[in-house]
Amino acid sequence: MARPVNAETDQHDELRALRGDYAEKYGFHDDRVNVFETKRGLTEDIVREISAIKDEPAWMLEKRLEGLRHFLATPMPNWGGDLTGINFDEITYYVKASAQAETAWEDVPDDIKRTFDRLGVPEAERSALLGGVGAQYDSEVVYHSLKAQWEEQGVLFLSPEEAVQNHPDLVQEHFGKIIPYADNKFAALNTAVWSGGSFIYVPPGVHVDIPLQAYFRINTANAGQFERTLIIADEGSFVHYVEGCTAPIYSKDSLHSAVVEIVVKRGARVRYSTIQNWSNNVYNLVTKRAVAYADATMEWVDANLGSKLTMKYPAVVMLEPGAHGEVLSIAFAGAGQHQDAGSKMVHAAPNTTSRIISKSISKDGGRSTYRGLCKVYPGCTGVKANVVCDALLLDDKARSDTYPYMEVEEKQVDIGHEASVSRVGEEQLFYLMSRGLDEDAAIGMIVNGFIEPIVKELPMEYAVEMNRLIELQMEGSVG
Amino acid sequence: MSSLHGFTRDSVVALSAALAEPDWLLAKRLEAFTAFEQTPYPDTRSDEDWRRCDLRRIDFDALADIATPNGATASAVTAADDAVGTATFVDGTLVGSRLNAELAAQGVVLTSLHQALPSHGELIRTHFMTHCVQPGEGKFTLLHAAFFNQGLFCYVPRGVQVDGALLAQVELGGGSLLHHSLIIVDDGARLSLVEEYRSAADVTGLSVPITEIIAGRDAQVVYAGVQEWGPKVYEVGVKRVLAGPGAQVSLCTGNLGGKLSKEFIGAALAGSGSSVDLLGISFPAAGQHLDQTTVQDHRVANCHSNLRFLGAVGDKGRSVFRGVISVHPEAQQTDAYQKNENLLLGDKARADSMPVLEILADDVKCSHGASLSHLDNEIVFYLMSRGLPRGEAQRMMVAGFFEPVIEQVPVESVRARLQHAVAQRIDNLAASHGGLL
Amino acid sequence: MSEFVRVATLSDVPPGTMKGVWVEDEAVALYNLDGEILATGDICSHAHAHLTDGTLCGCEVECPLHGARFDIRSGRQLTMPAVVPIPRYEVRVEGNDILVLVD
Repeated sequence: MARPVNAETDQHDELRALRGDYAEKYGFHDDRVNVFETKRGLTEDIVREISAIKDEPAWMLEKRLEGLRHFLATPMPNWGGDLTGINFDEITYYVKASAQAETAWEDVPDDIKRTFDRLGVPEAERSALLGGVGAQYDSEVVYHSLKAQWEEQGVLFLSPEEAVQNHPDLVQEHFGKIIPYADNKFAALNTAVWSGGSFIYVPPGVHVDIPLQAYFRINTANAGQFERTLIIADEGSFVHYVEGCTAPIYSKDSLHSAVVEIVVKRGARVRYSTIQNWSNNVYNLVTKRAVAYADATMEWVDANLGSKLTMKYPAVVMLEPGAHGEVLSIAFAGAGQHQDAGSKMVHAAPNTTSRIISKSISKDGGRSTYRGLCKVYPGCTGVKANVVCDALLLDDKARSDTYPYMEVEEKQVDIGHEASVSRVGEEQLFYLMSRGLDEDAAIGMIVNGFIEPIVKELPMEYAVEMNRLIELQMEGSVG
Repeated sequence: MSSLHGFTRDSVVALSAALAEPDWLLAKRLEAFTAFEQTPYPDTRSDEDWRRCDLRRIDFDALADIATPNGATASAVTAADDAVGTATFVDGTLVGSRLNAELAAQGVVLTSLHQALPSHGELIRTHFMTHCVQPGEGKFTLLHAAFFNQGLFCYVPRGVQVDGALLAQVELGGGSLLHHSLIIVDDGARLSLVEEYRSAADVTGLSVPITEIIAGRDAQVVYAGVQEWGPKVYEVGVKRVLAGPGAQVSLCTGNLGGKLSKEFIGAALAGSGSSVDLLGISFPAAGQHLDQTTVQDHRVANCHSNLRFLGAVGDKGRSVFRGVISVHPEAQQTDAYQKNENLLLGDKARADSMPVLEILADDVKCSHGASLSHLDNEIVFYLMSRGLPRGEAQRMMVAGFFEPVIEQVPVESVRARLQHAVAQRIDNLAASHGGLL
Repeated sequence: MSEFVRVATLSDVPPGTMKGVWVEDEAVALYNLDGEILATGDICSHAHAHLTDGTLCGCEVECPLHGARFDIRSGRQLTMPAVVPIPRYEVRVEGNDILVLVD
């Protein structure tokens, strides 16, 4: 722990105060009338309607229809979390919040602006630390700003809709190639009804040294959010993309099902950081996968705090020698939550390396699951892979599961996996309390220490937000 | 050999009649058979336990010749002078047994299930596929409960200490063998027992064995089960211990033979203060698929379990380990550990390792580790620098890799046979490659 | 085992269809591509599934589990999530018999 003890208690008081307005800050519902939304339920007509509204070329409509056919023909997954609460007929598949993508903050409708003011987006944007902010309000990108120098360098940071219109060759080359519609039921669903997300292209050799950011929200009750993100980092480039999520609290269950595809070309490096804080009624079923070419590095920093059920296993497929994959993952499961998260590392070339570090915390009957795969194909000599999973249980109703899968078809490799499950140590607790901390503060401090190795990898302002969110989660039951 | 063909109701009735079984046992078989017929064979696609074990290549109907008592004798009963009692089964029939007279006088029993029925019927009825392994667990437990042969019955009465070890040998001459072992070690008693399963190299067969070990309060049990089936035998088996309060059990498995073998190996920690060690070695090569699914099932508080499975994989061999530590909500103060180590030695070798934790109590200490790697070249070169030929250095290292588990096997002659079997595999590998590196 | 093994007859694999067979330990998929008999491994190189449980469309076979596609003439993977090929086997037709060489 870096912070001195008295600062810890100060922050603890501050968090208690913050908790009072949690519902207002993160759980409010803006009574804005949506400009357009489709009927509930999913039919071919709805898919055609979405495509028509977006004025899409025929090839994209065809992809959507293929996705729809596969979605309808595929049974629900029978593993992971409990998906029986999802009723696909109750979901609105497309909600458009404002007529067009805005280019200046002044042009964003006032009610949407208010929402983002309350989330603190503009402040973050104004901060010298931050770069471009693509803010997604419901299903449409409404606000984008990108520092001028990147545009000059040829960096593209657009909504995928804009990319389909303005850069069709790039989109056609990569869209659905890393995660084809047939990959799983929810990838098929996303392919059929995707809306919003981000499209990023970084030209060869360009280093985008300030994180690109996007905030996502689900606002309309029962509105699914199906954003589609495609990131292409050309040879020798670097980009860090940050995705944060909050959502209002509703009585009806909501579905969020994103697809994120990333191409990391020779010598490039991409870091994708997520702080997932959906409200506790959201099903968060996301497919994220990157392909890494020679000497490329892909890093997923993935924190899952919110949602009712999250099933998300960011993957790195290492296709050429020297590629490296890394996942740093935090999951916090409180009352009524199941975080089923993990990672897949696929070694399809010699001398590729990967590392997974996963930390999970369960309390109040929450369930956290690590589910991961490390795969080595024949002939991929010199592969080194390491997985470390630690789980912390905060009370006797909590549950923790670890399901690592290792499949190795080559002898010249070194693969290691370690995991442990434990509860907050009595001795640690006793020591901290003997130093004057009350039990809640002491547990909070232990939890912070537990996740610190991952939090320190986040940009500073996210690390602060992350610590606050964790402590808010802790507050949920202790108080 | 005489046999009954087909997994049919007629076969169930005829088998039960040939074994002169009481009505309750026939009824139990028929009940299992009805459920067996209604249950499909496990599907690789939908059943996680079977996802890595493809049963499609097995023609169950062709293998459904169920062995019945036929007067066969053991073709090659291996010397086991160091055991204090032996029982030998050929094609589902007890063909010979001996037991130290002192032990027999103390009430220790080492015989077949069916020979024990008149004297120990109630004990068998209480424990045979009732609370340790249950017929309804799956397709193969149902198959076993409907068609089990004359299996082993071993009983150690309350407080009796068996010094030395007992040995059961099981031989398959062809067709289907459904060998059952019911081992009951009563309160405060102590037993060491080894089971060896084998068949000749040219025998085609199906083995569906179940071993149930019931360890009473403060009982101490050391069990080792070693299979060295020939290369044309398919196997799906269960080995499980039910540990009572304070019981201390070591269950060791050696999985070496067979074309395809899947074993479910489990410890049910059902009594407070019980402690179970699960140990295993496997060494698939030349197109073998050896698959082991383990469970450390912590049902009550204050128990301890420790698993160590070691696997080496030779050319075209496939090894699968899936191990679960399951801690029930009541099982506070659980201390459980699991380690799976794999050594990949051959070309086209494949090892899958899935160590699983399912923890529903919070005051626990549970951890696991798994590794998959190759022989450490540096150590081989070091040994060579000390004058050992390369092949000898490699053989030493692989033997050393397995030794921590092999040394736990209680019968000296069985340990020697295991060491020999491992050495033979290393030699075969080395011969086909000119070295393992 | 480096010899051709009889695995099926032509009538087992009408044009445009496929059939799974076993050659010792190897699951083999037979295809009839407009009268030409081809053979590949039957197990998807991504996760364990029989390709012959999937769909055959021209010279592409699609895995039933995650939709990975392979070219049945070369065994080459065509789409994610497959990243390595499946083995391709030599076929010989003698009269009405289909023979496959699996080494």
